[in-house]
Amino acid sequence: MTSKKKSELKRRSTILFLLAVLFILTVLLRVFQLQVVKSAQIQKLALRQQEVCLKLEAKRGVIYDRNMKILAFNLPAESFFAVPESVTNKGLVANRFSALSEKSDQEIKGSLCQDGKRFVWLKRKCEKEEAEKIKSWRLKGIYVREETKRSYPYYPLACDLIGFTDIDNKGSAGVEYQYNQVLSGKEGKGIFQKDAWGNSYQIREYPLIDPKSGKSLVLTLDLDLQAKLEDELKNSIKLTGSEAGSGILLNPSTGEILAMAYISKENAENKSSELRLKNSLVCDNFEPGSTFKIVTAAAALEKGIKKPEDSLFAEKGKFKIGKKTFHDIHEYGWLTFKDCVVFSSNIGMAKVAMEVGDENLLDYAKRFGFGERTGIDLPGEAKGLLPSSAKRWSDITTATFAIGQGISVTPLQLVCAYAAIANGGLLLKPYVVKAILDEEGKVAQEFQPTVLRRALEPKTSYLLTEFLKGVVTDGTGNTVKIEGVNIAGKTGTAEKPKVGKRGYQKDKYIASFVGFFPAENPQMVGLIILDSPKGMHYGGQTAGPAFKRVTEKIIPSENLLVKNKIEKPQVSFAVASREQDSERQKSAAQAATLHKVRLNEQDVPSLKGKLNSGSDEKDLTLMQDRKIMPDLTGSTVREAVKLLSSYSITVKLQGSGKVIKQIPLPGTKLTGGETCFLECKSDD
Amino acid sequence: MKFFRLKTEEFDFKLLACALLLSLIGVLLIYSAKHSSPAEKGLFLKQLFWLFLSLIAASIIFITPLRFHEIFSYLYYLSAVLLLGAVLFVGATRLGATRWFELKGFTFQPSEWAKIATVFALARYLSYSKRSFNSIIWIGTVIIIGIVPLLLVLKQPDLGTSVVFLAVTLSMFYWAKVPLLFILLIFSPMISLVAGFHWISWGIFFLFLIYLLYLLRPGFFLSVWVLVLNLGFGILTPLIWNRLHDYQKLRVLVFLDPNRDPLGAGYQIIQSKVAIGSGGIFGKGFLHGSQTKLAFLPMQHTDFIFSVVGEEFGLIGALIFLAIFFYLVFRGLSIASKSRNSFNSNVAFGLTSIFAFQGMVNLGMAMGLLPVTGVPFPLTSYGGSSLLISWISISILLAIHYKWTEY
Repeated sequence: MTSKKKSELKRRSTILFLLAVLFILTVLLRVFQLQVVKSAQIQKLALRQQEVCLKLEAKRGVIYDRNMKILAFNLPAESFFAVPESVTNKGLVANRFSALSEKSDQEIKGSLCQDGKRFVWLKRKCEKEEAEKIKSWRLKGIYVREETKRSYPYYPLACDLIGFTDIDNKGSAGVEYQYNQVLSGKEGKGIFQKDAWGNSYQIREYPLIDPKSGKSLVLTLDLDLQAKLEDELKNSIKLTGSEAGSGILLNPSTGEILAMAYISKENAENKSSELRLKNSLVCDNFEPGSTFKIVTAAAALEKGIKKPEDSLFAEKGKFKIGKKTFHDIHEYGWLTFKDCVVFSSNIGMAKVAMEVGDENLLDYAKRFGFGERTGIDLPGEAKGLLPSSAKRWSDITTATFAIGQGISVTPLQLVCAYAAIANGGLLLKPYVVKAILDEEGKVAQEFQPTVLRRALEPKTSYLLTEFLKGVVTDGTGNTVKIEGVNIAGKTGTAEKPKVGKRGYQKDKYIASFVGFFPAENPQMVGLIILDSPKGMHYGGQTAGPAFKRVTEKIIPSENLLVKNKIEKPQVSFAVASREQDSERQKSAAQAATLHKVRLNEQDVPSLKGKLNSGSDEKDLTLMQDRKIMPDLTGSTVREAVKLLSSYSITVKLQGSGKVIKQIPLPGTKLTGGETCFLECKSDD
Repeated sequence: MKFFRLKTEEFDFKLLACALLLSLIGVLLIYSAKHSSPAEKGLFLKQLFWLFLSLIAASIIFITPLRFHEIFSYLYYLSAVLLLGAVLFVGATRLGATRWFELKGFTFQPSEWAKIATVFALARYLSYSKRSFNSIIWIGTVIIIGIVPLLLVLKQPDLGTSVVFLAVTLSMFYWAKVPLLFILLIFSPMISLVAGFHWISWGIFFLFLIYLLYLLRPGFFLSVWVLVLNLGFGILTPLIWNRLHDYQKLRVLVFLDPNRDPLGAGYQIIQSKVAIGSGGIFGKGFLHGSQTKLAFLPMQHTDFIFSVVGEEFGLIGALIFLAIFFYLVFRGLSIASKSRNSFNSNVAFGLTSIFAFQGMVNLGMAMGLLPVTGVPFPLTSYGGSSLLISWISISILLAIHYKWTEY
């Protein structure tokens, strides 16, 4: 080789060297770009394809009645879905599943063939049998996923109140809706790595976030009472030919809803099992009629305008106010004020109302809670309808207001108003959830009775109770009379308004009876409404007997009324097993809370006499005033203790200064021997 | 028995060290890429066995006189061409390509052998022929030596390897001191093939070609030949393009924009980029590459081995790996330019150009700079034949260095 040749090669290798360096630089730039500049972005991309986040279903809480009977719980269920890519025989899949669901063959096939679809639900929440059947087909591309399905063992008992959930176990109505957040808990999360074939592995770097089970609810509802109420409503619908019937039972000293039912004619005939989103007793307004007369009566009594024995002339059944003529069923002459209520005289009440005045009428209606939501823990509550102000009422307005026409209320409002009369004048907030239980079944939160306001003075409530007792013993509600127990109540018969128009439907009435018992020491307030009974339509003739039958069923089985002093009533909930259900004793213990009136034989002598063939019947004309817990809030400790010394009560104090809280609540009827707790706080 | 004594001062330990490092790194990477796959867990052992075999072969080749290869150059070439022909008929077909001879579980890829055989043949012709470079016979012979194995490999089909033959031929022309513009002229039909996609680009190139002919004046025959070929290729391209199947067109388009078909043809490029990019500066650590572990890249132990480096050892690992490789190439280049024997020099250059070209194409592919053609990374990628032939090449380079003074 010549040296010239050699130098040429040297030159060429130098060029190559430079080219190589150029290439190295390119590669380095690229590596730098990928691993430094774009790295974060690329890492995100990598995670997106390598990781899959799976949601883990949280167990929904159980719903119990007050005696720990299970009203709603979860059943394991299996859901089937398709991954369209791997379905080999789409026609067959569509065909098989169309037979199981409402979707047609074509619809299913359509969704399977849709472009880009990677997941199609075929059949959700199958029962075991159906699931086994589907599995036995061994179709390709069909997968199963474990889910839970909400189940209501006592369905349709209290179905409107409990509500229901949608297919994703989210509450849609009733308590299920209202307490959805409490019940549903918190979804868990699992990050899994998945490989290129889509298999997933759990990895150490991301621990599983376990789902948090929902909390359970204990309702104030008593399933036994509910069953009795619903049975009787069905029975009454059949007897009276009504279109629907509804009823509420409520504890007047706490505001707890014990039973609440709306039964349509179809329900009564077992024809329909349609799920209703609306709880009619809470969400629907109706014109109450005569049951509303208590507003006028209460105003007249409390304002001192009328005394029970004052006389009125009832115009012999016909009375013209302005252009409208008011009628009574019977042609009454002179009536006492009390008799106006007892015999439900429209004319009498209209006259009283005009004396009471519009301002007072509206004020008392509002005091009773009409025209505003009760605040119950159920969704969709209605307000009812009252005139917005008491200005420029005509005499006709005043008169119709007095007899419960031209206004509307919800059944729940009406019951709460009567509860206020029953408990000595306090308007309570009604509620359906008694306690929230955590996962271990321990009480996480307990709901206490809430006093909204004092509606009436205790004395007024006593007088009204006497009026209402008269209704049952001598008046329009005499069909309700039960030997051995004093019932106080009021009948109501209202014409049914036209739907969406002014005026009333011909020969259609809303018959109702609302009352409480035993009158001396009310344990329960009840309301029965029958919608459009055929033939006899007066409240006293239709709803009254229904109320009576319910009461008759309740009294003997609810040892409640004859139960003697209960030792240390406690609100403690163990997760009850089914076996415990029969223990009715226990239910009584749970029914009695600190706030609740405890019973004494002396209070119910007549009843006791009846049930226990007892001996020592005493008259009930005891000093009523001494038996009602006074309102002590705001008074000093000294005053309070002095006042209470005349009661046979033990006083326990907490703090000093002025009373800010008291147990038992004002207006609670006392039996003697209780302990009274006073919480005090000094002003400064 | 001491028939061979190593003169350490003449031995290129650096080259050997580079080659050994790349091979051992390869074994580790193959282990990492497949350790979570139960079926292919043992691949690294197979590779280790091949490495052992390769080192024995390399030792034997090292002590074989270089003159021996010079004599048998054409015979090597002939055997390679025959094997390439035979594999088309009796070879094993995998994934639609017929590239392998299969015997009792062992496979051999004759195209690997053909690469170095072609280098020997070209080196021999270029160092012996007395003709000048503007002789049409000289050019023709060189081109034919290169193009025969190229076409046979293309038929398998194996686009990546066939491009290696093109690269080898080109670089041998270059090493034979043919002027650069003249090489451009010789390979102008290839450029016409690409430029022909659009008539404007092709027209401009054709005008440039005429100017080139005027400048170089390579003689009448060659000029006419060049013009005819360029015209032919230029017209052929659009015709061929229009007759390509859609999936074939897609491959070209996907190269230009891999996101066009992320789950199909662009999948590997994207996954490889994701693997390298997600490694960041320090990497995820040996055996911790999630992209690798989760099998997003099925070819990670062969063509995309660099993505394992990038993901598990990050930028730092990638830089070290690249440094080793480029140092190996520079060693090869310096051996080629140092050797006093023209044949040896040509062989060294040819073998080095194979290393360089394959490495660069492979890297470019893994990083999404070049289309996916299926070229393994020399010495590192999984594959017995490739490893064996790479080690034989290394051994010959070492021998040329060892005897650089030989004429």
